[in-house]
Amino acid sequence: MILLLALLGCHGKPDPVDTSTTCDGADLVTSDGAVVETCADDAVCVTGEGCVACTPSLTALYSNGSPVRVEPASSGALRSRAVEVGLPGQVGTVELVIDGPVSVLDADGAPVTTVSTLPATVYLVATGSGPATLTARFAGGTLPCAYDATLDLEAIPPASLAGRPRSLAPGWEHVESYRDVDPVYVGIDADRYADRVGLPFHVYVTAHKTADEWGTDPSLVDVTGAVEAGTVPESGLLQVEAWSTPPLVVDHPTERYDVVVDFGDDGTLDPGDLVDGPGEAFGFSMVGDLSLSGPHAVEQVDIDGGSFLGERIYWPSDLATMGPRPLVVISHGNGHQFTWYDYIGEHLASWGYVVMAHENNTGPGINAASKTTLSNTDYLLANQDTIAGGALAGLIDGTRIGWIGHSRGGEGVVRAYDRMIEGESTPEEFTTDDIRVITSIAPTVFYEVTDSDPHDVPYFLIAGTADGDVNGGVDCDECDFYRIWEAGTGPKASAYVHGAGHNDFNCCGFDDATGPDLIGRDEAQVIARGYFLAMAGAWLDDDASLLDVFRREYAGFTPSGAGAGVILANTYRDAESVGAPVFDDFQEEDDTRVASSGGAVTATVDELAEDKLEDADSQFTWSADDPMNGMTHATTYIDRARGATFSWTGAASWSLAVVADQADTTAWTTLAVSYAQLSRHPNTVAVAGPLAFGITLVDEDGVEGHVDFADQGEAPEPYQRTDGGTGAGWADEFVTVRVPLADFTVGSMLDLSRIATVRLDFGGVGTAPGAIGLDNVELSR
Amino acid sequence: MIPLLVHLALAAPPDSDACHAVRSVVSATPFTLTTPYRYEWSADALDVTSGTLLVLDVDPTWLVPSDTHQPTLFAGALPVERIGTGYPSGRLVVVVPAVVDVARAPLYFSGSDLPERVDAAAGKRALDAATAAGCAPLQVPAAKAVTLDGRAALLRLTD
Repeated sequence: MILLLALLGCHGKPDPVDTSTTCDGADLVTSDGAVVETCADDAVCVTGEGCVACTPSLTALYSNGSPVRVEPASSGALRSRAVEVGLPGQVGTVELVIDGPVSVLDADGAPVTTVSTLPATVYLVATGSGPATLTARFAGGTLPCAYDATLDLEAIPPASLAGRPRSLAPGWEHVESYRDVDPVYVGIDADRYADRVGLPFHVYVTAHKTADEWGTDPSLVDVTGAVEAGTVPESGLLQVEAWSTPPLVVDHPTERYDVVVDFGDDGTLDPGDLVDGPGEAFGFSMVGDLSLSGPHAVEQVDIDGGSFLGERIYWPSDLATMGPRPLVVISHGNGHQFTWYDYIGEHLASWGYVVMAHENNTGPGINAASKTTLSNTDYLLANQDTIAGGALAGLIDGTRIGWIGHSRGGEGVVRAYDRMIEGESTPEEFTTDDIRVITSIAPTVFYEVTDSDPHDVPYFLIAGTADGDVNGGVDCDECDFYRIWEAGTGPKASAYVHGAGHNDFNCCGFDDATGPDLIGRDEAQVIARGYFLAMAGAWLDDDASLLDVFRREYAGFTPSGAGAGVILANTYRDAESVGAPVFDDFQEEDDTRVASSGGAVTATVDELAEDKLEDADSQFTWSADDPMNGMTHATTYIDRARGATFSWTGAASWSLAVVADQADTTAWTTLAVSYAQLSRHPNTVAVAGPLAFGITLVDEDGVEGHVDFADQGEAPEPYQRTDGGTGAGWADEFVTVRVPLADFTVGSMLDLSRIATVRLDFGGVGTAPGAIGLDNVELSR
Repeated sequence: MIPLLVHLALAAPPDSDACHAVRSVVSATPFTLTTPYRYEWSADALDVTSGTLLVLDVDPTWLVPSDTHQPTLFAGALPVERIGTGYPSGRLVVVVPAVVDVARAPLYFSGSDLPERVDAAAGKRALDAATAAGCAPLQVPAAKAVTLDGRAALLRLTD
């Protein structure tokens, strides 16, 4: 072998050969038949060349020799890993064989199985997760080359780079959307990126660009004023403060950015760099103060189109320069006026929306109100050419409509949508597809939710805990507005605002607010303005970065005008059509030992019960005989919402065995858990404050990943309203805690493709004692 | 809280208070419409071509605006159409379709279901209970009848 290597030289070629030599199989022979050399197994004999080493080479860009981490491509070949394929002598053809969840692509994103123009660069993208190998095999025709080159790979799920430090385990939270007053951090996990350990990098925060834009111009232009440098650590998560004082977002509700961790110090986005965002997704977004007025001046007009066709219309004065814009319709409640919602109309118009509030026929009931919503929407769209001297002509996008209703009007807008779905009403100017979102403010529920049904339209519910009219109490079926929320099958969100009354959401209704710590009209409307703009942006303008306003803890997006102490319980759930795996929603199994997914449940908590989310005795006084005390998500036999309740006084857990077809979580980004403190339960009284707990995922090898989410959002102490029985506490205040799955892998080798157990841990970092209602333990995107 | 108390008070059939909540008929304007409109304050199909526009003097505690159950105001066996809330003044404007003879029908509060869900049978039950409770017609002042284009013109009479 030593002799052979000497003959091959450093490039694998033999010293210049006698051109008169030819090949006879593996033998290099002279013209007189003498064997000069017999090529070894990892070489082939090439006439005129001699023995040529034929073992291909595979070299991954920006890698230290560890298995190469490969992520799914965000768009095209972005976020791929570049591998250079070569052959000694760079002649011949190489076959590329993948074993595992990785694809090999060319520069245009097309699959590659052979390369013949060498050296060649190919690009790897993950199609799943887990180990993989790339094998390069000489395929230069009939030559008997025996040796392959193999590159070990590790396909990993995508994870964002942007995040923020947290005080509790695991010390880091992945973030999609920041308030614009928050610093931006970038986290580089040594375990996740073990193939880059020891490599230097620079962190760039850039304006978001599409895949095409990055393809045209891959240069990295940092917007922070300082490109942070570092080296991938040997262990742990390196947290880089990439942008300490981002600018306020003022002209748009959000601004989008991409994050690139640039290796090679070339200031260019190239395969092998860590990237968060390039392509159709974005690295992170900055969300402004959504309660503040937007950049557009607002005009308004009142019109009278006839019986129950009184309307007040608001629009941006420069609408003509903006093209058709979405329409938001406001349907007032009973005893209210359509002129009472200027705070919504002026706000949304200042952000570029056309808004119309109309006279609503709420007195007879919900059907009458629903028909008025339909007729007024129709009327405006049909008469836009003449209203306001033609200022709106052709500038209302009738395919993007959002309905907001208050109280009876809040049920009316849902009923209107149901009427269209059921064929009871057929407007002339729009269809159900044009209704993009419905919002109810403290809606009544006079009709069963099979009639007042949001169906699959995005639905947002906002209400106040101090409501003195549609009060959300357990002795008033038509007040239990969460029943409508439960009926929806589209994406749905809710916000239950402590201390807000019924008429805090209009200008002029009488003061009905009941309970302690009332926040008053001004603060309630600051909160509402922020939510309504987020609603319009998310579902009428498809700005996905605003979804976090609904999905994450409210404290992260509190408008500047809201008091620092505002307390709010918010929920979010994906559309059923998304098909997110539900570990347990308590709908399918009555047995507390079996989850709705079929997985076994083991628990060391006390008082574990499952039932409809319905207070059984219609009063708030705590009773052990009524484990669903304070629950209002189900009232009649039509309502189906179920959940569990339990309590604990020390360390305890509720643990669910994940069934086989739900074990691979890598297609999802988030674990969502909905829970509420149990109103007036003695343990809740003892807590006397917000409550959280820990969540542990355990993979099939027993590796655990743990998150204590208390600093990401907690279930508030139940609003301390005292009517409806003995003690203090009001209707259930479910919150949805959404923990990025990637957070569970921070500092852990947890395999998210093989999750065996979801465990809720109580009494540790969380609060002991405690008592909660639990619902919807599920995955989400 | 007031609406809740009212609601609880009206869970039972009308009592003397419910009979006397409408204290008097301040004015009555018979009308005929050239363009009828659909009456939404009943579960039964009814087009309003004529009727009476009444201004009532009502105990305002019965008129506290609410989005939940409000006491339903009947004229005979038919819920009346309320124009505005009448709160807190107690001056409540209502439309009574001609199917009800306002001179012979008691004006009373009964139950609290949505008017659009009150059908003829439920209306008759309410009227029977009201009659049994002693509810009686009120004096209706005479007024000149008017002919109008439609509901919008009718409402302008209330401005």
